[in-house]
Amino acid sequence: MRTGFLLALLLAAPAFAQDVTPALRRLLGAIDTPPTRAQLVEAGGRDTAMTLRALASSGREPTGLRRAALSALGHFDEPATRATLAQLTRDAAPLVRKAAVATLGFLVGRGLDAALLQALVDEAPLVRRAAIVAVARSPEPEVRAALERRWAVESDAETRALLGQALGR
Amino acid sequence: MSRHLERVRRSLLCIVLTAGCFEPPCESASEPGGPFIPCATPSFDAGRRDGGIDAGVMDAGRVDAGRVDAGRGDAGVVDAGRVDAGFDAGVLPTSDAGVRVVDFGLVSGRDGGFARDFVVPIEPSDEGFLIEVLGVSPELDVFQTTRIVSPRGVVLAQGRDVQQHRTRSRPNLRLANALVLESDDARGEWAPGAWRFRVESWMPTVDTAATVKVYVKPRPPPGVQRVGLNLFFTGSAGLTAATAPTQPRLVGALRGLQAFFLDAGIAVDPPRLVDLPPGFSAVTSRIDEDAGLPMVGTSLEVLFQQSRGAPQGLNLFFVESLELDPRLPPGAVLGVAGGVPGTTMTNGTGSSGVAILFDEATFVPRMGEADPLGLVLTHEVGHQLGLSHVFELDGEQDNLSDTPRSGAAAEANIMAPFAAGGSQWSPLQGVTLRRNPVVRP
Repeated sequence: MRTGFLLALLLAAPAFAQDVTPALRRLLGAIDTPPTRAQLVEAGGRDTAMTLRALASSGREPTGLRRAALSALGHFDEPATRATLAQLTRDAAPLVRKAAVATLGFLVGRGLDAALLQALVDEAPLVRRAAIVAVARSPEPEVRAALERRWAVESDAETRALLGQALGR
Repeated sequence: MSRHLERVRRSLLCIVLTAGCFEPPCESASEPGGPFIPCATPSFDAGRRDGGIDAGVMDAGRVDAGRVDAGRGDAGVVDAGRVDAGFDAGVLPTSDAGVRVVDFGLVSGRDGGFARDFVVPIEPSDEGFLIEVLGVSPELDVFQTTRIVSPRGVVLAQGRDVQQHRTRSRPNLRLANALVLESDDARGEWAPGAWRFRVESWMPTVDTAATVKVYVKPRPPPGVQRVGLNLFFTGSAGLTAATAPTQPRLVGALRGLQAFFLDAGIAVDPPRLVDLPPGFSAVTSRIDEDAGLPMVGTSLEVLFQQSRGAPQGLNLFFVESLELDPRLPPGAVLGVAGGVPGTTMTNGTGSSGVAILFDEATFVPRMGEADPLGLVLTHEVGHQLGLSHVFELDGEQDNLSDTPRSGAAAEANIMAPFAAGGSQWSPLQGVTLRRNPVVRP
């Protein structure tokens, strides 16, 4: 029952995106000065993280705004944030998947996340490349093995270049 | 003169046409009967991870029309023969615009070279100058030009707090540039005579050295000036030299760039197109340093160094990822300039360019918003030429007296920090842009 309620909340989350304050929306439009956590909270209020998750998940919002929201979520390392990011690594829009992978990789750091390993075989090269950058900092043997597997089949030249760097080749 | 008019005409045409905005790709440049377009050939040393210290040798003795060797007596250490500058000489300014190069050569911190005054002779016919300090050591030293003093003895820049500067001089890693006068608040101080400045190394215990040059720009005749444009592609979102001329997002953004700069009295030349080898699409740090982990992607400074050998002009690099600080969440930076100003007169340095995030081939407008790419391009080039944000969230403001500080007018300025539809320059922003010596009559 409780799980069902939480799931319903998660599914309803995109509807909240319309509640984004103008100040937060403006902040997410920064060109070259990324907002700090404090600035985000000041603009978005105490529910900023939830608002950002809703914004990132909303297919109705401009992709660029969703990308900015995904980046901003890197300031709010919470279980709900990681769950949202993992879910969005499977979004329909490659750009959203790429941004979700990048932020999830930032939060995971030198750790390991199954969603990131899965992103190594994403159909879109830009997502695979983001995944390589994201997992390369991890010393886990599983990461090395996954990179080796990808190296064996990767045909995209730019992605191979990054793979080669990650594998030290 | 007719050549200049032709360039202006072509740039104007760019606003309404597409294909004409581009120089032919290098592959087709030497087609029989076709015009020869010098092909930008950056050093395709993609594996290079040496912090940009190329053992290149700059021939300080080369003949440049208008070059003033102010080194003797003022500049301290000057090797009149060869100077290990760390960078290829690239394309030094040609004499057609009359820009003079005051070359102080190699200056070493060890022998107190940074503690002396550098003197720049300014003529009544000059309108400004750009100071360029390029570190030649791999250490992460920070340089800043400071104590910029007018012939009347008025100090326009002093110390590390740029807020106190009437002409801002920003510190930067490994290199530093300052545009005099960056600020028209200081315009009243402009006078011919001996201008002085100093170079400060933030790490005096490190044995660092730098080359110091000043580019003096004569006052140009009235009318539109021009600037060259080199576009470097990493393959991000499928964008290459071959696809660029018909890539809708890029074409639209370049139209915006050209129109915005024409508003400021600057015609942007048709761009030269250059493909970089694999390995440059992901910028994962600002500088090149050994973090103890495999370096995946490239640093911003190594990316910009790929402009080595390119014709003089603004260098724009299109990348897929733009992460500058590993401590901050990735993905929030749409573009970044090499500096404020960047190194515009020497290609191949760690600040000789502007990086633009291009990770989406198509822009699908939702809720009526416009593609911000053209604004981002223009905004970052504005930084590269010397403009600051008109305001910052922390209350900092630019140094110009006619830029709006807040409200809708500020948001409508191209140098607002947010992509909120900015489309305007102030008159003094235009003056500052045109003062950079890379912008030529």
